[in-house]
Amino acid sequence: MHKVRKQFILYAVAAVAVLLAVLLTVINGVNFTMASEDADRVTSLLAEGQGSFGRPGSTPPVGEFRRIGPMGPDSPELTASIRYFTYAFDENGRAERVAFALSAVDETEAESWARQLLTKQDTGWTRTTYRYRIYEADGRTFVTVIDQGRELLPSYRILIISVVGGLLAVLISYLVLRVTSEKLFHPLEEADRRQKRFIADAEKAFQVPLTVIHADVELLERAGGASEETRSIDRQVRQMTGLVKDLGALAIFEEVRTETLDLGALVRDTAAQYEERFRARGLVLRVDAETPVPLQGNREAMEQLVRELLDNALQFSLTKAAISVTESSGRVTLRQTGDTDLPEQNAERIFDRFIRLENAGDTSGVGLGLWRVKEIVRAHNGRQSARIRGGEFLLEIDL
Amino acid sequence: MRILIAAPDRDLLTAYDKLLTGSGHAVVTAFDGTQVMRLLAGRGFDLAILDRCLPRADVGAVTAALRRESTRSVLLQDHPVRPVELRGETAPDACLAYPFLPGELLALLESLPPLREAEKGYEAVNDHA
Repeated sequence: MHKVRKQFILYAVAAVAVLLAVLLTVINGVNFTMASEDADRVTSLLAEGQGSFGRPGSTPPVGEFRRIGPMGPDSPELTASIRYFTYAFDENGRAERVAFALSAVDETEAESWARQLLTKQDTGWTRTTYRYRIYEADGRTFVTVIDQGRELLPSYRILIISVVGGLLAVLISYLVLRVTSEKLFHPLEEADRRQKRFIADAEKAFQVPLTVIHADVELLERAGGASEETRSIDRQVRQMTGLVKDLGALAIFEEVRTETLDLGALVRDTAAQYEERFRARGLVLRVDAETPVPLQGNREAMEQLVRELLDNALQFSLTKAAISVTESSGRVTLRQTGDTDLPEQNAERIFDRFIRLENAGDTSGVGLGLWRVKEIVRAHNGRQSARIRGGEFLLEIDL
Repeated sequence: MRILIAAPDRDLLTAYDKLLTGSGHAVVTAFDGTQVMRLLAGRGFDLAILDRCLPRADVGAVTAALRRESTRSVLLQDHPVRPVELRGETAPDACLAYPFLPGELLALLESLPPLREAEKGYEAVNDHA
């Protein structure tokens, strides 16, 4: 549940971030586009005047008064406030200064600048805050450049405020979600814990009664011989025994509290406790676990994983089984093998719930053991594979 | 073998008393730790089968006492792995997880090493701990 809560916070914050990014991109995009359009209206006015405000001899235009006040290209102060220059080039490339009202460069540099722009498209931005227009009139090519520095300043401010504000908003949303999600998830986490406790308690409650029933069936068969009824009871109780053994693991951890553990030592210790059971079944178990094999993992989960592998080997190997753990370049590999008479196949499906291979027969369990292995491996960001080749079942886990 | 079975469930005790007696063993049953310690005094048992949840018992103290009496022990519990806290002189010789089949217990009893080797096993466990 802890993991679910973290995922919820991550997705919610990501959604807020995406929404803000889209919104602010659109707003700033529209803002800069409108600034470009305003600048083009001014250069258009200049183009109509062949490079200066108004035709030669005519009075400059006065903006129409609007209720919200004259702004931008409509302002009557436009002709006095715009800083610009215009150069006209004839077919031989000779330049004529048409208008020059700019403080940033001198006339020589302005002519050179205009000449460089001749190769570009009709209109655009140059030197970041200057807008230019190229147009034809009287058989000559005119280049007009206007300064838009002051007009663009608010737009750049809005852009910076958008970025900073957007990041702040994402951070605040993360903090708010962290606090509120605790309250939101608490009932769910509590319900999840209760459910897991109930499953664990139910598993324990069934254990001794099933053992007694097994023993009583054995006694009945010893006294009066096996019958259809005793065989049926035996089958059903074995089925229930397998289910009970699998029940506890359904309450699989979702939080993986990790520590640095020695997987080699863990495998050796756990395998040592299975020696008697392998011996009782007449199986040879080889353990190959170098030490130390450091792993950042959950000890309880890894113990369960190794027990599942050994249970698997114990149940389904014909004569011999092996378990090994190695470490190479920071990757830990756990292998379990066993001889088998099953045909060659990719056995990945055994990691699915309730799947048992053809050799499961009457063995106990309902096919959840290796599903548990898969869940534990997933929680440790590892991967698992299984195959049967050359009479050998191979299960490999990379962590 | 002379076997002592101790568990709080009377049906379990009755069933395994009959099963093990039918398999040729001499069986004594106990319901709690106090009875176990009383039965151990002055009586030699070859093997004790104990439920981990035995009432009125410190299981570690019981298994240590069994070891002192040269009695092997099998611990019945809810999972097959030896408890971390039972190591060295308190370690049982084997653990068996509920629910188990009669055949599993009988096979386990047969697979336990003889008494002298069991003592060596104690040393090995002690060293391992």
